Amino acid sequence: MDPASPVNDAAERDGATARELLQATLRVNSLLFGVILGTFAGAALLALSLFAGPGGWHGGLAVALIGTILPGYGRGWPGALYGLIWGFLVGAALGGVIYRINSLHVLRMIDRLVIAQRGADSFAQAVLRLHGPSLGLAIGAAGALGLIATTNTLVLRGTAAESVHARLLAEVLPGYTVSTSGSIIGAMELFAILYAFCIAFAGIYNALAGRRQIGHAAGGAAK
Amino acid sequence: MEAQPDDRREMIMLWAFAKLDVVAFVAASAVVVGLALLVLTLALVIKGAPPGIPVGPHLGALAVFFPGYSVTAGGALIGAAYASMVGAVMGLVLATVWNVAHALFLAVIRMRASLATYSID
Repeated sequence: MDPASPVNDAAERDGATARELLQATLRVNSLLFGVILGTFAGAALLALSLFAGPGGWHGGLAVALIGTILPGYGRGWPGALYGLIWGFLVGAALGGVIYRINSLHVLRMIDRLVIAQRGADSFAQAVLRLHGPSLGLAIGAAGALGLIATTNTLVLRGTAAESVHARLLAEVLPGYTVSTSGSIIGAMELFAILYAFCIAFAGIYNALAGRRQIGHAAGGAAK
Repeated sequence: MEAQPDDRREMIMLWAFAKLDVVAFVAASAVVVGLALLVLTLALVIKGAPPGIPVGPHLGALAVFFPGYSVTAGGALIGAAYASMVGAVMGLVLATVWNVAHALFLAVIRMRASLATYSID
């Protein structure tokens, strides 16, 4: 086929249109997911701060540890408001990044990511399927980068030697230390763990969702 | 056969507004979160601690929120059950909010499309 043929031009235009449409939908969904995750994270930090008790019980220790990374966060109202804002900002940013990474290969495998349904009206509907490797890459990358960022914050502040609780991560991430090199080792292990859990999560979800949709379709056909 | 351009665009729109299967999402969340605490607890139990030192004292503090939980083999199962419930609730909230947000967004789009085609003639 002649590379400059009208058929090729039309195919290129249609491909570009599909990409533009996908980019538009990605922007909307990334924003939506970011807002949802940011709201949850902010609300969780707010609640933790308000209900945390003194010392190690009932979340007081967790609030103190989080406060070493998020300036201003602590028990009581002023700290809780800082937590709400920080939680929203960090959660929203993470949500947007996670959704974008998760959707990197959507155009290539879009047929496998939806289970079409017959809606009550003529409007077509679909149930989402999850792609485990993409989800694992997104969540794993977020977790790994988060570990590197928080660990190196402690290193740069000069409090690495006093970070007793951070060192506890070495119990589940062998080789992790509160240092730059240790954070990279821990990040790789954390990525692998989160990736494996995401594969399992997507597998269970897709299996159940697929069976339920088959069941719904069979029930609808029988009526 | 390769999807036609219109089919492809329709698939993209279907994907963009696809809803999550709430029951499947809740079940998957429950299993994964429960499994996570189970594996974490058992890892500490297997690793153990020197004589006279408690195993996993910091993780054991979860017993404040999960009565009956302890960093032991039996406690791991109890903790997994509690964690599954927490995971299920988190999954339910996330999936429901996602679906409601998309439904609202779709309703707004359809309303604007209807208004755009409305003619007063």
